[in-house]
Amino acid sequence: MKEQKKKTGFARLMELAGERKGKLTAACVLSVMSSAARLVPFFTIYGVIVQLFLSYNSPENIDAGRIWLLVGITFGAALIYGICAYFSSALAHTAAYDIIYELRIKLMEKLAKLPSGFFTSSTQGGLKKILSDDTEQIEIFIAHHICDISAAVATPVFTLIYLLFMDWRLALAALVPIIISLLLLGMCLNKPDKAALQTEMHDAQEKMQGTIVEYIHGMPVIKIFNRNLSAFRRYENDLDGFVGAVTKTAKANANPMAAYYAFFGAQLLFLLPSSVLLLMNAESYLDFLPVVFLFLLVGGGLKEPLETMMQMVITSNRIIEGVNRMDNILCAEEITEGSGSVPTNYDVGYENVSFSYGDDILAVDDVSCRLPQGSITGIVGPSGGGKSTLVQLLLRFYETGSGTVRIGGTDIRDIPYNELTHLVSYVFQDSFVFHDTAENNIRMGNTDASFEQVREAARNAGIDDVIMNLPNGYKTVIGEKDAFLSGGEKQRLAIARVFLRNTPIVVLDEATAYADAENEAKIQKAFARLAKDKTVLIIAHRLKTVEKADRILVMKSGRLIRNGTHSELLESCPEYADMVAANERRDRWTVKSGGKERTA
Amino acid sequence: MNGFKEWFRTMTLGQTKKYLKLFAWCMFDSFVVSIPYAVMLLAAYVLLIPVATPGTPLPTDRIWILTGVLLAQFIAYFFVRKKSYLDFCIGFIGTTKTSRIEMGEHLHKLSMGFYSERDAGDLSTVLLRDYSEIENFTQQLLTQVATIMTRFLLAIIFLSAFDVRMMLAVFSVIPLSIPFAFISMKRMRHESENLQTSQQKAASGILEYVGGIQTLKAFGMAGEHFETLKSSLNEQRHSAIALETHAAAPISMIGRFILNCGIGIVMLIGALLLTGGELSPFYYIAFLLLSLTVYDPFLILFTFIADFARSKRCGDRIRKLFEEKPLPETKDPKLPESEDIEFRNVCFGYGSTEVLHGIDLSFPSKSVTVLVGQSGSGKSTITRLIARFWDASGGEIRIGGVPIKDVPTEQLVSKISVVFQDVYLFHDTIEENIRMGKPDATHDEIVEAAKKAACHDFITALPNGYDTMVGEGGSTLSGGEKQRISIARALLKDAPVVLLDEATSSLDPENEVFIQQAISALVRDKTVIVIAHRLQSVCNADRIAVLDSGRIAECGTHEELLKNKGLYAALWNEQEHAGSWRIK
Repeated sequence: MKEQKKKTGFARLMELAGERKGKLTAACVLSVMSSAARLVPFFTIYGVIVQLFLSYNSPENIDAGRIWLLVGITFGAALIYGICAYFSSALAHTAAYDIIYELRIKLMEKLAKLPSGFFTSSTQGGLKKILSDDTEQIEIFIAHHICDISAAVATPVFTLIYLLFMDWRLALAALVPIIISLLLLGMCLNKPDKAALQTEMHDAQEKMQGTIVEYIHGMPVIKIFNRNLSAFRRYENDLDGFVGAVTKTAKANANPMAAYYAFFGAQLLFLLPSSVLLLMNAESYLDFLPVVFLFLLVGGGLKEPLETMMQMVITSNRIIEGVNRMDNILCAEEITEGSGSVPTNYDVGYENVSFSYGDDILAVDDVSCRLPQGSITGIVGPSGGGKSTLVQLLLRFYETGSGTVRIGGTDIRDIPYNELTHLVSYVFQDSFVFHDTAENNIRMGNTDASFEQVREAARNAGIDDVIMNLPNGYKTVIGEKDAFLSGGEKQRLAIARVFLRNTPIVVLDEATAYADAENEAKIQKAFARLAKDKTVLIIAHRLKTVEKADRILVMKSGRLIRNGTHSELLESCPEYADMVAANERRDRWTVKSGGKERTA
Repeated sequence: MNGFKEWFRTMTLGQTKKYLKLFAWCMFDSFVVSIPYAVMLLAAYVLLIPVATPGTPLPTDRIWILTGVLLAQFIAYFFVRKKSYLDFCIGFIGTTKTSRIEMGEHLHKLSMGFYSERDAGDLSTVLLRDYSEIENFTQQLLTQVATIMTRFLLAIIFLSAFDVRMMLAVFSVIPLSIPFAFISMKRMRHESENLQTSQQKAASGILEYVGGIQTLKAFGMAGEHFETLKSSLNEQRHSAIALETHAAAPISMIGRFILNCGIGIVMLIGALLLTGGELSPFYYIAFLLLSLTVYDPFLILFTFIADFARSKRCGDRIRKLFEEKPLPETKDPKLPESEDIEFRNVCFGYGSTEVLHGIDLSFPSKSVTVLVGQSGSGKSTITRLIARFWDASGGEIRIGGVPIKDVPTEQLVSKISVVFQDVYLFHDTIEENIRMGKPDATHDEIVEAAKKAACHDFITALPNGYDTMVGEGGSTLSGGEKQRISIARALLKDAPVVLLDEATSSLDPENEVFIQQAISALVRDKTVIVIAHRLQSVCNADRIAVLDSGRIAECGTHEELLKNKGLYAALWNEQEHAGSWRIK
C-alpha cells in the first residue's frame, strides 16, 4: 500500500482505536497462545509414540513417568487453551465495544459541529447506516476477526517452523498440495472472465434486492390496481436472474474449486510415498518412524487454520470500506466558530450573496436586499427558485459562496454559532418532533421557561387543546401509543417552540399550512402580537398570506427578480402578476363530478 | 421434539425434503473425506510391521497399494466435491428463491390495512436480510452437522471394532460438554433479549438524533439531547460486554475445555490399559491418531451458538409474516349492480381505541361527497374502509346494495380508484408506470390519459419521452409531476368510484392548477369521495359531511351548512379570516 498523508483501512482503524490498542494486543497474544495450546496434543502424542516405540513389544516396560507427564501436559494445555481463549475473547469484546462506543460518540459530536446543510434527506439514511451498521461491522471485526487472524496466521507459521525443523523434506511434501491448491484458487479468481462473472452476480443481486424493496414499497399501488405477482413481472424475473447468475458463476468455478478442495485434503497422498522413500533410506528405521507419525498427525492440522486465514482476508475488505465511510464524516469540514460581538439591532442584510450546491448551477445568484427590524418579508417564487436556500444561508446551513449575510451590520460568520441560534429561529417545512413529552418538545425553545409559559406558547400556536386531549396532557410522550400528531399539529408544535424561544428574527416556511386551515387565522393573530419588533421572513406558497407584507421578494432561478409590496409588484412584475392569476384560478376551482353540475 | 420440528421447518423454509437430500449428499462427501484417515491407520499398521516383528522388511508393495487408494480417493473427491459445490451454490439459493416467491404471493394477499400499519422498510428487511441469514446459516450448519454425524458414526464403528473401552473414553467428553453448549445457548438467548432492547433504544436514539439534528442545532440543543443518547449508547455497550463476557462465554468455554481434555483422557486410559497388557500398542497409536479428528467439528459447533440464536430470530420473523392472515374472502360472492355506497352504523377502531362510532352515511352514485373535519376526526378511516383496508368492527358497508365483505376483493378493487397523497412510482418507464392502471392499455390510450392528467407536456419534454426510466421511488420527478402521473394511472383505470385525498402540502400555484385540471378529468361522472382540507375547493359538492371525533356532526350542502351555523360554518369563517401574516 502506498504511503498517503492520511491513513486508511486497518491502519486508520488502529488509529481510531486509540488507547484500546493495548487491550487489543493482549487479546491477540492470548489468542495466539490459545491456538498454540491447541497444538500441544500433537506433540504430546508424538512424545507418547516415541516412548511406545522404545518398548513396542514389551509395553509393560514403558516409561510410565514419561507418559504421565505427557498426559499432564495435555490436560494442562487444554486448561491453558480454555483460559486464554476466554480472556482473549473477553478482552477483545470489551475493547471492541469500548472502541465502538467512543467512535459513535466521536461521530455524533462531529455531527453537531457540521453545518446543517450536510444533513440533506439523502444523507440521513446513509448516516444511520454509518452510525449503526458500519460501526457494528467494525465491532465484529475487532472482537472476532483481529484475534482470529493473528491466531490463523500464527498457528500455521509455528507449525511449519516446527515441521521444517523436524524434517524439511517431509515438511515440503506436506506443503506441496496446499501450495498447489492456493495457486489454483488464485488463478481462478484472477482470470478476467471470472471477475466479470463475479460482477455480474453482484449486479444481479443488487437488482433483485432493488426489486424486492420496490415490490414491498409499491404494494399499495399494486393492490389498488389489482396487479398480481406475475403481473409485477420483474419480481420473479429478477429472482430468477440472480439464481441464474449464481448458477453460471458456480458452474464456471466448479472445476477449479473442486480441484482446490481435492488438493487441500491430499496431504497424505504426498506424505505417504515420500515418507516411505525416506524411511527406506533412513539410517535407522526405528528412529525415523516417529517423525513420520508426527507428520501423519500434523499434516491434516495445517489446513484448517489456513482456510480460516483466507476467509479473514475476504471479510476484512468490507471493514475498510466502512472505515472510509466514517472518515467521510470525521474529516468533513466543520462550521467555523465566530468570535465577534453579538449585534444589538436585528436588521437582516444580504450583500451580493451567491451560493451553489456544488454543481455549476447557482442556487442563489447575487442576491442583495435589506430587511429592517420590525418588518415582515414574504418570499415567493416557483419551487426550485431558491426561496429555502436563501433563508437557510441566514441560519448558516450552508456558508455563502460569495457575498455576505449580515445581522445588525455584523457578518453572521463572526457571530458565535450558539448566539446565532438565539437570534434566529426557524419553523421547518417538516417539523421534527422528538420522542419526548409534549412539554419538553416545546420547552426546547427555552429550557428555563415555566410550565405556564410553555402552555401559553402552545395556546398561541393553537396546539394547547390538542395536547390536553392526549392521554397524559403535556406529560404525554409523543410518538407512543395513541399519541401521534398529524403533520399540521407537528408544525403548530414547532411554532409553539418558536414563540417560546422569542428570538428577534423569525423564519417561517408555511409548506404544510393547508393541513390546518382551521387554525391558521388563530395562529396568525397570535403571531401578529408576538412578532412585534421582530424581523420576520416567510416563505410563502400561497400569495394571499403575504399580501400585506412590508415587502415581497420574488425569487426565480436563484435570482431576486423583484422586491416590492404586493401592489407595486402587481404593476411592475409580470412574473408576480402571473403567479397571482394562477393562484386565483386555483382558488376558484372546485371538485365536481360533472354528472349533475351545480353552480355556485 | 415438536419445537425442533418447527424450527427445522422454519430453517429449511418449508422445503424439508430437499434439505434432507442435500444433507445425505453432505454425509457422503464427508465420508469420502474420511477415507484418508482409514488409509492413514492402515499405513501406520504397515509401517509398524518392522517394529512389531524386528527383522521383517517394510512391505512396500502394500504401501504403494495404499498410495493408489489415496490417489483414487483424490480423483473421486474431485468429482464428489464438484457436485457438492454446485448443489450447495445452486440448491440453497433455489430454495430461498422459491420461498421468496411464496412470500411475495402471500404479501400480495394481505390487506391494505396491513401495509398502512407496517413499515415497508421492516418488511423488506425480512425478505432480504432474514432470508440471506438463514440461507448462510443453514448452509454452514448442514455441512457441519453432516461432518459430525459421518465422523461420529465411522468413529463409533471402527473404534468399537478396535476396543470398546477406548471408544468410550474417546466419546466420554462429548456428553459432558454438550450440556454446557445448551446452557450457554439458553443464557445467550436470555441475555441477547436484554441486549436487543438496549440496542433498539440506542438505534432509535441515533435515528432521532440524526433526523432531528437540524432542529437541535437551530435551538442550540445538540449537546443536551446528546447526553440522553450517550447514556443509552453506554447502556448498550455495557449489556453487550455483559453478554460476551459474563453470560455465555465462560460456560461455552468450559464446554470447549472439556472437549479438549478428550485427548488427554484417551492418552491416560490407553496408557493404563497398555501397561496392564489389555491394549495392543498399535491400537493405542490408532486411537491417538484418530481421536484428534473427532473433536474438531464439535468445537466448531460451539462457535455456532451465537449464530444459532440470531438465525432463529430471523426464521421467526419469516414465519410470523407467513402467519399474517389476509382479510377473509367471501364464500358466497355477489356482484354489486350500482355504485351507491352506504354506511350503516359503522364502527371501527385501530386496536382498542375506537375511532369511528356508529357512522350512517350514504354516497349516492355519481355524486360528490366531501368529508370535512379536524385531523384525527376519522375522515381517512372512512375512505379506507370503503377500499376495505380493514373490515368494520361493527355495522355494515354496502356497495350497490351488497355488503362489501361479500364482494370478491378483485371486483371491489376494480370499482375503486384511490389517489394517494404520497405517490409511489416504480423503477420502470413512465409509460409502464401509467399502464399500472390498465395492463392491456395501448400506447395511444396511455398518451390520452397522460394528456387528460396534464402530464403529456412534461413527459414529452423528458429525454426519452414516455420511455424515460423513473428513478427509484420516482425521485427524478417533482412532487407535482408524480401526483399527476398517479392521477393518469387512475384515469386509465377508469373505475366508477374515486377516493381522493386532497394534498395537504402545497405546491407552487402553477403545479396545483395542473393537478386540479387532472382531478377534474378524473372525477367526471364518477362517484367521488373527497377528504378536503381547503373548504373553498369543495363548496360545490353535492354533499358535505362534517366529522367530529369519529361521529357525523352535520351533513348537507354548503349553503345548508352555512345556514346551520354549526361546526362547518365556524370552520368556513375561520378559513375566510385566515389572511395575510402581519405584525401589529
